[in-house]
Amino acid sequence: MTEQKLDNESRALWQEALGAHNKAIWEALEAEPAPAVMRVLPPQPVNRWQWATAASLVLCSALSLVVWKQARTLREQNLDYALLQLQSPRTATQLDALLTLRTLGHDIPQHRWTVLRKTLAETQDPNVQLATLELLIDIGAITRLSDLPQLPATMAPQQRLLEVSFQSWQQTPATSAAPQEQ
Amino acid sequence: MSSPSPDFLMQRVARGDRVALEHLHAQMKQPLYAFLRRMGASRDDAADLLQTVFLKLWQHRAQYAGTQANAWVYRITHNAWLDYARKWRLLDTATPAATGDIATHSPEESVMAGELGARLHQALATLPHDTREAILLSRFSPLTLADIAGILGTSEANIKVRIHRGLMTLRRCIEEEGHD
Repeated sequence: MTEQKLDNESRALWQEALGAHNKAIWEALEAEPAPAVMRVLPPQPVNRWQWATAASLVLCSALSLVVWKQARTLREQNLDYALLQLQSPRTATQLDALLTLRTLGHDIPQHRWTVLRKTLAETQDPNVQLATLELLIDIGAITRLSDLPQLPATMAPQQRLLEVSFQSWQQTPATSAAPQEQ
Repeated sequence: MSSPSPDFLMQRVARGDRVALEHLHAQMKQPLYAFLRRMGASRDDAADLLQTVFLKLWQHRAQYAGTQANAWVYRITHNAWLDYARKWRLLDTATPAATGDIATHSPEESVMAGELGARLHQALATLPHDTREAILLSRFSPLTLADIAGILGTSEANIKVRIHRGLMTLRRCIEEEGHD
């Protein structure tokens, strides 16, 4: 029977009207148990702010992807142009190209290192040699001290700096190490 | 630990707490369901009406005054039942539920409760709907006679008279059949 906190006035009214039949009638009026429900309310609809947030996130993700792809395309274009400039007969152009390539750093894929090595082998200009060597050390294309070529005697201080630079690169943690050349 | 009061739960519901509504439903569903069944709704209709009542409680939660949650809930239940009764034209004619659909208790009590329950249900159905409702509100809800009068839109004195006369009808129903 349902536990019922009956109002005192109602209780008195029932007792007065029903007398000895009060309990029997009271109990007989009880109904079967109410059916169980999975949920009282329908699922909460997504409100407009949630829709707006979700739409903003999707839009931002799409924009980020577009921006990232554009940035990657731009880097690749810069790399292509710089490597092309490196083949110029003009030293100033080559030095500009090497400066650009330093900023691209580890974005230079391994299969493009041959262009840098070719430049190093062919150039007569010690500044271009030095800049190319610095770049090759920076990107991890030179892995042994013995691979460092000898610069002209007049560039002995620069040679020393290269060796120090190479040794400090060797001491950096493994995560920043460039992949080994095949 | 005692359950939270309907007033507390309804205040939480008014602030948008769906969990509080679930608790309120758990506390009140049985008396509300029994009330609707004894008012003449079938099992399915009573379950639907119960769902409607809680949906309306949620939809109109901003209108809750902050006190007398029981009166608020039963008023919504009364209105839901009235809409249902008008739709099925139950207000003018007495439409007792089929005897096979009458509530029973445990199997041991089913015979007694079943027979008596069926007869009482028939007797209730012969009463005017406002008398029936007054009796059932006093049976299933913790409302005072004043609260019941407020829901049914009449005076407390009138409610006392209705309940008394209606109960006398039920008493005669038992006494004529010779039950104790």
